[in-house]
Amino acid sequence: MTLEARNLTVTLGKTVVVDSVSLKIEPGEVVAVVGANGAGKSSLLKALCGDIQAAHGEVWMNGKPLAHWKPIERARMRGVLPQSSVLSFPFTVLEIALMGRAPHLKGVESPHDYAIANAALEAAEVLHLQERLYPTLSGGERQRVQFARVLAQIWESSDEHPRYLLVDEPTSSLDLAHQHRTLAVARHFADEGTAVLAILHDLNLAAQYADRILVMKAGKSAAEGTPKAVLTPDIIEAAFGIAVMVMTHPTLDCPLVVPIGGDVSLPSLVSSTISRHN
Amino acid sequence: MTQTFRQRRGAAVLIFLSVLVIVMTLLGAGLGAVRLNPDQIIAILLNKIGIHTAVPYSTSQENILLVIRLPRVVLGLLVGAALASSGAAVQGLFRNPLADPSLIGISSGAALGVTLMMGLSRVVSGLDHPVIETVAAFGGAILTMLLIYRLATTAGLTNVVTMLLAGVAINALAGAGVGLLVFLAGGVAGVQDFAFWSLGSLTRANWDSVLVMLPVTLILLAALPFLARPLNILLLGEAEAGHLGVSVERIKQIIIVLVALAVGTGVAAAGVIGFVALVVPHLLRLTVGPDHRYVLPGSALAGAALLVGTDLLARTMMPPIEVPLGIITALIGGPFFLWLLLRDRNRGTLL
Repeated sequence: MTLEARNLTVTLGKTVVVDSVSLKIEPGEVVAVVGANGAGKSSLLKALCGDIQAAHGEVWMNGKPLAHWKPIERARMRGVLPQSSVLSFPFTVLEIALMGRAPHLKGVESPHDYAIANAALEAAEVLHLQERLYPTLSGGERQRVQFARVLAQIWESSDEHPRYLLVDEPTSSLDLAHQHRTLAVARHFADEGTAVLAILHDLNLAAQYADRILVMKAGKSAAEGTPKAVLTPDIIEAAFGIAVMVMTHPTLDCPLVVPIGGDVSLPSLVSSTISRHN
Repeated sequence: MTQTFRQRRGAAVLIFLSVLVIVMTLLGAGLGAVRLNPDQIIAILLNKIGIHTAVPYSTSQENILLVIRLPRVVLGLLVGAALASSGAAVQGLFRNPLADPSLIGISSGAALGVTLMMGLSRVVSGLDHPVIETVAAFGGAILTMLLIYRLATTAGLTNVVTMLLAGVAINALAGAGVGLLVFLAGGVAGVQDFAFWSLGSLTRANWDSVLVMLPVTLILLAALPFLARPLNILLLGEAEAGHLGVSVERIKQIIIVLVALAVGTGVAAAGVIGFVALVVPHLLRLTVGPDHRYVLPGSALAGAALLVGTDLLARTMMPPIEVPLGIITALIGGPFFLWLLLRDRNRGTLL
């Protein structure tokens, strides 16, 4: 009962964006994927959820290739939150959360579906925005509403299959408190038996909430393991190109990554002009 | 609480529009050079199915109703419902409220198909049958629709500017094609009839054209309840809709075929009637919100009422001259749409 990428290679045009990455996500754990911009994190997630076809390798879900699951079967056990969602039609926040219930509906939404939608909105701390129109919300509020929609989708565990939650940078527009709130909710879902995959930029969020971290560099898996094993100065500098110190979190038993700022020399316009004339 | 404010209002709007359709039908069937009262209309119809009433009416009134007015009103209802609801569906498919079948060239494609068939029927006899014209219109509509979708949509995202500009180009091309065919056929009897049709008109209405339009509109209306929720979810984005269990490709194919069928048949029967498919869904969204469970049936009802009302205006505003219907819808729809654009310009809700 896992979601598993086996030797996954994804190409966009001729560029290899994911290069033979293998990854297993088990129910009950939070796996974070970190890496520099363009390291292939989002492509890996898209291939894992079937949005893009892998050039090589396979994705397996609950012991069957992903393609063998019907869209509706996948939707009943797996919620996916993409990086950005474009929605310009003025649905209310509640209507959007209710859309998360769509895979489970038989006919119209029941009071139970409304209860779940409201609970999901509360979990994402947007219940007070219930009647607001989505296009009038701020970027962070929209992100939380979309998160609530995905939570509503997998709110209840089914008897046959574990639940999956795949989120691509769920905290990119959020303030500090909501970044932690969002990951705490994901952690809570994992503790209830959901398999969570989160693409994150903040290494300290990953350190605090993930069981395992996959570090990607140039499409490849650069390191994989527990936060303590993976978040070392060497691995981080190799993957991100920045020098860091790794300490232990003062109160939690997890690494704390502190970047060491470096000097920046900007390219000189004079010399580049000269070189062009040469 | 399982009913939101919007849902209660949606239900109320649907009831109001149903009443409006009945009122418009009675007005459309009753008003004109010869007047029929609502009770006479009902009495004639009841008499037709064998129930006799005491309401007095003349034979000429009966003939006018059954031969001239009724097919025209029924065709108006069917075309209006088909146009407006397929407009709402296309706007959902493109995730943009500006995607109007006549603006983006679907109607012109259908018109070119019909004109081509009309031209061919001068050479090959037997082609000027409503069914053959409808098939040609459907062919033109589905080709333009696929072309626009290919041009404007990449990786599940619609580029609105490309969509509208492609529509401009297709409209120009199809217009040139239609113009060329009419020019080649110049001087031949029937061109004036054609010109009237190409501006959009219900003058060609008869029970045959009703019989062609009826199944198409019924299929479309029967499909709407199944398309409403997927269309709502599709507004979130194609990838998101897929993750919520919608078979995105299949829904898109169904919508493209249904809309091409509805617009094509509508154009074959009544010509290019612009703005109905744009203004009606827009009005619905303003009153009941973007939920397709209300926008689709509401558009069908409002489109039916609007087209019958406009046709009534077209044939009664300066008797005995009849103004082409498409001119009136453009006269009402154009300024209305400009007003919407101005009103929403600062809110950024249109694009």
